[in-house]
Amino acid sequence: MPYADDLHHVAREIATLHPAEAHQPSLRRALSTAQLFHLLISDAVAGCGDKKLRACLARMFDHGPMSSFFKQRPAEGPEYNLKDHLLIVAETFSEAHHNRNGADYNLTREWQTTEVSLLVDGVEAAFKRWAVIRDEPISRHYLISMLPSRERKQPEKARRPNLTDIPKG
Amino acid sequence: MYIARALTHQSEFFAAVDQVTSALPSEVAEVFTALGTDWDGESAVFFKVILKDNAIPRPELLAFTRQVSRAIVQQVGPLEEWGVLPHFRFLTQTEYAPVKEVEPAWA
Repeated sequence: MPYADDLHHVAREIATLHPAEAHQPSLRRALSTAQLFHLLISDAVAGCGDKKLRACLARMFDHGPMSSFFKQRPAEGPEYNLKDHLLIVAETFSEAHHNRNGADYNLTREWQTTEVSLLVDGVEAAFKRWAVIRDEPISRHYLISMLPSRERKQPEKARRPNLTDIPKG
Repeated sequence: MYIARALTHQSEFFAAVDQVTSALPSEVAEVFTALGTDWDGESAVFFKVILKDNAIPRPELLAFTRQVSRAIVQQVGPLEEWGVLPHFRFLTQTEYAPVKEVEPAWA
């Protein structure tokens, strides 16, 4: 995953450009760059043999569904460790995405050096966890969850109530 | 339109959060909690966790923050029980001081 790795190295460099002060442009750029998206997308489209098609396919993926991939904590069981790794990757992905938006668009927020350094550390740790589980079926499932689908966003189970519902009794 | 339970039962939600955050390790100085909407438009809860300066060695800080966020998520169940996605922000006391000065409470 050279591009994703390169991006992460750049993020680390930018985050430490001004260690003695909370230099907002650097910290914001670091957060904007420290992402899991490209790492995961490159794995998701790796099976496509045509380089141009891979790039087109990669553009179809969406942050949204991945952020809420796990609705429940993994239960104890033989696959617990695997699911726990994936849960942390999914949580880190969601946080990194959230922080990128904050860094890019929320100018009222003051980022701090240790705070940003920790977030970059977290993305790096998630890179390592992903390397452990990337070939597992549940990880492939997770990658596919990034493809936008209205059906997956509204699973068929208990329907969410809406404001026009008439209360029973 | 779906309204998260945390928003319709806010006092219960904050009480559940307080119960968990009051039992966090002593290295945690304070936890601020706010409900809102995240960048994807999802109902969310934002935890701002203030850590005591130098209480945790830097190489152990990431693991500690994960331990704290896990404790809150597992015991409160923001998504499963209350319908809000949790987001965390960790700051040291020294770093929180300027943040408190310049950031609006809702930022």
